[in-house]
Amino acid sequence: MSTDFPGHHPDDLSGDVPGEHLGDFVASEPGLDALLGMLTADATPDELADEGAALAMFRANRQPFAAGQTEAWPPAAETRLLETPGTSIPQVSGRSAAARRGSRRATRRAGLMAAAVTLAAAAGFAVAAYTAALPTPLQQAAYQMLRFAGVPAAHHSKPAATSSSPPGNTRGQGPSSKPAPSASASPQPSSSAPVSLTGQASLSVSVSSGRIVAGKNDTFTGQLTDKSGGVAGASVNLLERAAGQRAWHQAGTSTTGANGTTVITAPDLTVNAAFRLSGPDATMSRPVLVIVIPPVSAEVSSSGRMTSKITASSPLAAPGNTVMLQVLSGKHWMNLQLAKLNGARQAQFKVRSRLMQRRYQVVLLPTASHGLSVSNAVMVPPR
Amino acid sequence: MGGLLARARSGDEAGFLELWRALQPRLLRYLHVLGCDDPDDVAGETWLQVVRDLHKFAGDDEDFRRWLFTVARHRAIDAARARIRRPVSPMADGLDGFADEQLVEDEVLDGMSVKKAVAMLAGLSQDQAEAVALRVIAGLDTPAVASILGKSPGAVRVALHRGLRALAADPRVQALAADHGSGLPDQAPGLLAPWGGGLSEH
Repeated sequence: MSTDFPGHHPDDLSGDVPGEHLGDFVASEPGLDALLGMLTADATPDELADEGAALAMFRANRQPFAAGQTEAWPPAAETRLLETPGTSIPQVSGRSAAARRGSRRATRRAGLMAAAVTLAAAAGFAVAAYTAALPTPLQQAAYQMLRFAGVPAAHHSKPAATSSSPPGNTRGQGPSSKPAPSASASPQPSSSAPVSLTGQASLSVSVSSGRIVAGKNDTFTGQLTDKSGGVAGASVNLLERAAGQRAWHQAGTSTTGANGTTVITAPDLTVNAAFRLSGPDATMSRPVLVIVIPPVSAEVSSSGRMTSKITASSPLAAPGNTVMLQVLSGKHWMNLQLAKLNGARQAQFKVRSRLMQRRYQVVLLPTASHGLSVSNAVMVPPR
Repeated sequence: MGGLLARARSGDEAGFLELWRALQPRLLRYLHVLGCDDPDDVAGETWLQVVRDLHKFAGDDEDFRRWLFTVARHRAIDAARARIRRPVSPMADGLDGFADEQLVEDEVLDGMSVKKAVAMLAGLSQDQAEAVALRVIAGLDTPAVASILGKSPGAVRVALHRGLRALAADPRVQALAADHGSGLPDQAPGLLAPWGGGLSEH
């Protein structure tokens, strides 16, 4: 069989558009000509990698051919298909083992792609919520849908710092003097100071930063209002639900100031968590999500003639977390390799000689427990 | 019927392999343009069906290509329907930037790869992308493309024309023209060869 393809030369496109010689058009556009050249370029090794599987499939499925044996062509099934595009014919049953092996091998060969898809499937929507790819309301919705199910619990180690605003003296009974309860003290919103609210009350909350470096503090500002305005002197609790937790825990308490505002700091956050405020009369704010970003660093750990090694470290991430090596190509970072952090929270990447003298960075991929983190850039020296 | 096709049809393994080597790359590129999640798998299904029915085949080279790409298109449709029945995480799309290391290296070093060229084609509207793919990658004539797509030859010509126009206007393609003319020393041999280069029989 000749493998010449009629569509391979600009001349073959002549007459495709009435009144215009499309082959001339292609020939007059060097970029398009080059692009079409790539589309029809010789096979890459990757494209022929399944040759062994194809041969095995052929051996297992070829049918005896009798001289002169022909049927109406195209076969009936494909005739139907040709006449009704989009209609599928029944699946071929009994797919051969060779074909299955070929497919699996192709999947394995896909390497990083398969790993990435698997990772993405495992992390699910949670990853989207933590990559800041989604708007805040959607992140919160994702958070509520997931409820951090199945994610190992981790927690900030210190009790919440309580910042009590100066109380007003109009309706409240003064600031609460009791210390902040422990983080696990109450799974439900605790009672607040006996402040009488007029009409429908609302409690708002805002967070100073929705994404913080792991181990840092975050500050929440709330305001309790009712029909008459800001409610002073009311006790407000900061509730937290960390990744992996199903229940809300009290993380701090404070008392509203003159205009009904209060500020509470949650210290030493090491895992993604949702926070909300609870106030008197079962007032409750909406939850806000805080994404924790574990620092990740990259360094060239060894440099040889044929390969160099880049070591990624992320002390506050977990063993098994995935890191990705990226290389700068023009103005864009391109994904190159994936690796898992070991018990020391480190991973090593090998860089081959042809890609030395380029800039690299490492990305710690997000999980339900932490957000995406990007390292410093490093230059692999020339060999 | 061409020699390779006749040999494959008679059960000759070497003949089949030559046929496979000639067509498999184009088949994969076409399936990529269609947006298959697993082009290798769909291509495997396609060849399986073709091999099983090959003894019934009677036609010339173009008939065979038309049949092969028709089967591939419908296996791709089946795969897409199966994927809809088994939805995957939308985050898979977010990590689509992963590629195997060799391709990344090629792109870093050469600026453009076959895969990226296919991705650019896939960025056209579906009818334009498929018309260009079947016409250029599969090498089918316009009536055959029209038959596969269920459109009139005139509609295929219009889609082809618009698709090529859109590609020519793409800044990345225009940049490619600059690179093409610059004679950069580190271009991969054959990668930027005039189209039609490297298409002769192996």
